Amino acid sequence: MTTYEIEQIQKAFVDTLYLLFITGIFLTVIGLILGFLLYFTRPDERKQKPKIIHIIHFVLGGVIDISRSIPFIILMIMLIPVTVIIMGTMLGRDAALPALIISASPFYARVVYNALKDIPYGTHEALESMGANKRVIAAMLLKEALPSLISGLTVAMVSLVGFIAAAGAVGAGGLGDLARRRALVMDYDVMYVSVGLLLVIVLVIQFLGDFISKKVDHR
Amino acid sequence: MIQIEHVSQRYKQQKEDFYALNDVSLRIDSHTNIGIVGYSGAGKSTLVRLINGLIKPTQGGVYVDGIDLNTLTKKELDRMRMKIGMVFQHFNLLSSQTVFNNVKIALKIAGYEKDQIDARVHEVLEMVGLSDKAMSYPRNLSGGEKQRVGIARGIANHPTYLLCDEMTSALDHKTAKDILAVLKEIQKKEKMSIIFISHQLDMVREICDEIVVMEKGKIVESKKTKDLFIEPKSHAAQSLIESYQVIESLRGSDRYVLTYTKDALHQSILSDAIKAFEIDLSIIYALTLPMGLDTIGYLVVEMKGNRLQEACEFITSKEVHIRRLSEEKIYDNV
Repeated sequence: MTTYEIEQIQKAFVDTLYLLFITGIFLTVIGLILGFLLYFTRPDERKQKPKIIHIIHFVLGGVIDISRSIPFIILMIMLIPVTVIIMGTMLGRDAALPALIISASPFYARVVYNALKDIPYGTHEALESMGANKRVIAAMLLKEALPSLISGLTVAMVSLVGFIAAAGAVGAGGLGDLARRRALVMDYDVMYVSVGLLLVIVLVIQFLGDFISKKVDHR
Repeated sequence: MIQIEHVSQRYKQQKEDFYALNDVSLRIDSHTNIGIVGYSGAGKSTLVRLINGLIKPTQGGVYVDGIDLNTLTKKELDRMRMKIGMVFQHFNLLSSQTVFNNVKIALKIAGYEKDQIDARVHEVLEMVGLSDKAMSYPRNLSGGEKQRVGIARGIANHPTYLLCDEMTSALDHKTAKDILAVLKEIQKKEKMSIIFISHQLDMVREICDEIVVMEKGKIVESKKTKDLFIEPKSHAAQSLIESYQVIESLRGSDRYVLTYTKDALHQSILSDAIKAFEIDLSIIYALTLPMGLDTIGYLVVEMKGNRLQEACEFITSKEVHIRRLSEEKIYDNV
């Protein structure tokens, strides 16, 4: 491999990590907020909640599921006008961010919602009976759900690696894009190295996720 | 004092609305322990959740120390809840927190000063006998230990009322008795009213001064514990009291059940009656049940004699309750 190719691989590696990291932060924050919103607005036969709460839950759930069902590559094309407004360009690394965030966050929102729903209702009730307000309840439920939240985040991050490869189609760069471009011109060395690096990234994410999730699990 | 006035709790269902509670009124005086018993589905859990506002009634009012829960804002309700501890059937501990932190959270919510929190947590863990497990996680505890944590958490904030929702029902008999003993011991130090919900009437009798029997969303009987055990009127109470069932199985001609309390223990009532009224008496079955500070005794006997009527009157006059156990089941007091 030439120095140029090695530089290309390095740049692609950094780009992939950059996209993973930035999107990872956004998807965690947005996923948590939406997941908790879904949880606190959920229909609950034990409590009479105002109708507006049900409507919020229904609309929010609908939006989340619709954006989850649009294929990533289509979403990216649909979002081009929005991307141009936000990022000022439709090409390059940063231009892929809105589409990545919008497609990955709803998935994580569902993960968060399910993790919260899996906490026995009694735990929630016990906190309420102590006079805890919503903020305290949310904080304690977050801690209770932490193992599931982390393993869910691991799954989301791994599938994000695949999304980022697809984002290469709009010139976002990254290892997946590099591997695809080199494979088209029969340069298999760079392709193998790129795919190998992707594999390493996925394995590291999975290992870290499993490790931390187990560490915080006292259930 | 807690007053529940004409409360109904309706759940909308597809065909017909279901009433978990149907026009229930109840008064719980301060410094009394009250037991709420009934089979599952009778509405006990719903009733107890009205008291700390976990459930809002469809109709009627709940007053805690004269304050109508319906008029409280969310914040005021939270503050009210801090004075009402709650212990659950399935413990409901935070699995991610140590025993120490599980108790601490209640005090943090109640706004205790930092330096007071640790001292109080240690104090209540000591009371329930779990000082050495403070740093354990709930999953490493047995059921009985988990419930001790539940109690410690419930009483940490010096509550005026302690709601116990089937707190012994998930435990084996011996552990359940131990937990009751812990609760009794704590009540000596911390003054509070216990509202004890259970389908195990024999657990309730050890701790409660008064018992309310519920069936199908209604209160069907409400009286002093002793009186309920002497003469249960409602079908639910009769079938929940184990000793009543045993005695019922002993029906036969000339049979009677004498029920007495501690006061009658040191008198020779029976031998006096036998001598004075020349009756024949043989004992079929006897049982003594401790009941809080009192004791209740059952004696099933066969009595014959010409002056039986007079003998029964004499025995009744000595504060012993007599009920005839004729072969067919009819309720006939002598």
